[in-house]
Amino acid sequence: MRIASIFLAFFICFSSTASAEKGLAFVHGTGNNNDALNDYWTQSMVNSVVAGLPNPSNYVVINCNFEEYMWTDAAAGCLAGQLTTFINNNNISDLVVLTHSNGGNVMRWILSNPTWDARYPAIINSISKVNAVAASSLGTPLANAVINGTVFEQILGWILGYASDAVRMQQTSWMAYYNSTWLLGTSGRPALPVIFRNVVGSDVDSAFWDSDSYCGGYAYQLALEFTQNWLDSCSDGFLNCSSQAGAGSLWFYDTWRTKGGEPLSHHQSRRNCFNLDTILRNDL
Amino acid sequence: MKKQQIIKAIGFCIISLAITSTSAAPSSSPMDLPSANNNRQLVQFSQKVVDPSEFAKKANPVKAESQEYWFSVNGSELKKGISVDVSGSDSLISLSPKAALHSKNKSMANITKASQNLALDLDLVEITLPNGATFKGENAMSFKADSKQLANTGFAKGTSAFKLDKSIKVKKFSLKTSQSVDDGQEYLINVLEKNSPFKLKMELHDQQIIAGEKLFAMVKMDNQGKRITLGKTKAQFVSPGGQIFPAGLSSDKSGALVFDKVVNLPFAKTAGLWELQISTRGQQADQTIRRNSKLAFAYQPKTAELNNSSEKLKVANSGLSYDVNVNVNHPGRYEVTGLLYLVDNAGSKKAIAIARSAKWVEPGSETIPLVFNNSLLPDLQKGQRFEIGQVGLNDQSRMSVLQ
Repeated sequence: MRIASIFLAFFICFSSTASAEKGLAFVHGTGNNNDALNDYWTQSMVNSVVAGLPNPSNYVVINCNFEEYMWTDAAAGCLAGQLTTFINNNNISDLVVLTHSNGGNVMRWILSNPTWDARYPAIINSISKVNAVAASSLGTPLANAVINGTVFEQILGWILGYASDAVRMQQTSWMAYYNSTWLLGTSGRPALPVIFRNVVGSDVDSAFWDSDSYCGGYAYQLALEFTQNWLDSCSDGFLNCSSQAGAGSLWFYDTWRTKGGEPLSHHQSRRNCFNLDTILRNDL
Repeated sequence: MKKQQIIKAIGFCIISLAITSTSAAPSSSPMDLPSANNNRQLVQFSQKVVDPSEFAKKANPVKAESQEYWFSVNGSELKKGISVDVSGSDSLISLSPKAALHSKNKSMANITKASQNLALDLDLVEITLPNGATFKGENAMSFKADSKQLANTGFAKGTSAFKLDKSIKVKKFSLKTSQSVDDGQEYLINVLEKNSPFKLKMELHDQQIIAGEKLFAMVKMDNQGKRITLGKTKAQFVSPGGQIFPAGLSSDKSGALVFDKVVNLPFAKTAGLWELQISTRGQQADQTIRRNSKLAFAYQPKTAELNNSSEKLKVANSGLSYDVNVNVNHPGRYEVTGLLYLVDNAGSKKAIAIARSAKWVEPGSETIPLVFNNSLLPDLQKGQRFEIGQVGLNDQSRMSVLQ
């Protein structure tokens, strides 16, 4: 009887453990995505990373409108909806979230404002960690440059024809405000409720004779090499290193761990360049 | 009857004047403001505290250093030549067409196409120095990027940019185009001088301003620590929706410009932050330094406040609860927060948990309960007790940090 009880207890314990699932969510950056799998991340990047999951089909690629302010229904609301569906449908109890760029801000909105939406607490309690690649945590001077001189008028829309609310929000003094009030995790502020660790891209290689400059697309590298003129010497072409490491904790700078010690530009850090996919896969 | 008609007429005049005055003045009622959150559900959350000092409410200062300026010109001015002041090597000049201003079709697709068509061809740009020397196209440029190369960078469509060659050492030059552009077409010219020693420094002492509070801003220009007196300066408040209001700055003894008074602005009907924007110039000998800068701040109404009536911690099914009383002036979703302290028998306190609760509240007095989950509560030792502190209040509908 005693042995049977022990066996029964062991069986119950094992069953409970077996039903809990690990999952991965890919959260894109600024943009209104309908097919982030192919357009933002690429199938090869996603396939490579999810191979590290116990069940490689337990992943979701988020498609939301991150042209909007992070707190809106279209942004955080959409993200919360898709994460909730994924968690519930797959019985996910150990969710790893992989964000890129402004996706880190939208994720951080949910983590920092648990009472904003009834879905948020369950999402927070399901997340084991956020791996934030090239996060736009402190904003970017590039957003300042894009918006400078522009006056948003409700009738005319963005006069210069590109800027969105998301770009507006990522101006450095705007992010300074949100970081000091509605967002957690930056220096001097309360910690986030989950691990939030950063992968930092530190440079842009665009030498035409260097094959590394072609990973992800050479045209992007050229553009990002130029935008570095607005940034500090340590930057990925869109974000300063200080912004990428601005919230949570540092996981690694690109050159510490990538193949050949190659830097990851802002575009390359969402591609399977220089073994980034392998690093993320092995982390799972 | 005549007396009654006169009274009616006077009353009508008074009402008409009131309506006229009201419609001329921008709305300042929090009831009209966009709501960021209309969620009606009570949502509660509690978590462990790692470093309690990080929860202390503090001012939110922000600073900026600018080595750039921007201005608008039209096609006619560009074809005649515009003056560009530079104060350092490797100045980066970008040129962006303001396509949306003159497009009848305001769709993004149309504006994008129009912008590309209006992009300035850098090969048709001519730079003339004060000594008359003229450079065409890339002969004056150490680096250039046309609108197609910048298309994926996030800059406005149609933006082209170049760096002035280091060998060109001038304090100003004329830039013109031989491109056939409409006289009335506007362009934004941005000049970024990362190697310039002249910096416009701007600071706000607090980015969170509740109606009735003072805003303190300071603007000054330095050349490696040496103060440069500011000349003609334009300072304005810009609402999230683009409304512009003059901001009267005054000079202090050090030559800085200061704003230090209660803000009197209407509440914005568009989500987002206000900005204090500065356009100024300084002079050192024959060097003119033009600078623009801006900083964002939140300006919100006081829609509710904590009612400091004393409450006690209560034991609940899920843990400890504490009722927070609030007085609400305007309907919205309000969040209360509070820290739970463990107090020892010597009176020494240590924060161990934070609880947050939010719900929709109509005007009047209301109670919002905080709940600290059992899993966060240590077993009390002899002489120990729990205590609540640092109770805070946020308006989630208008995104105001109230208390």
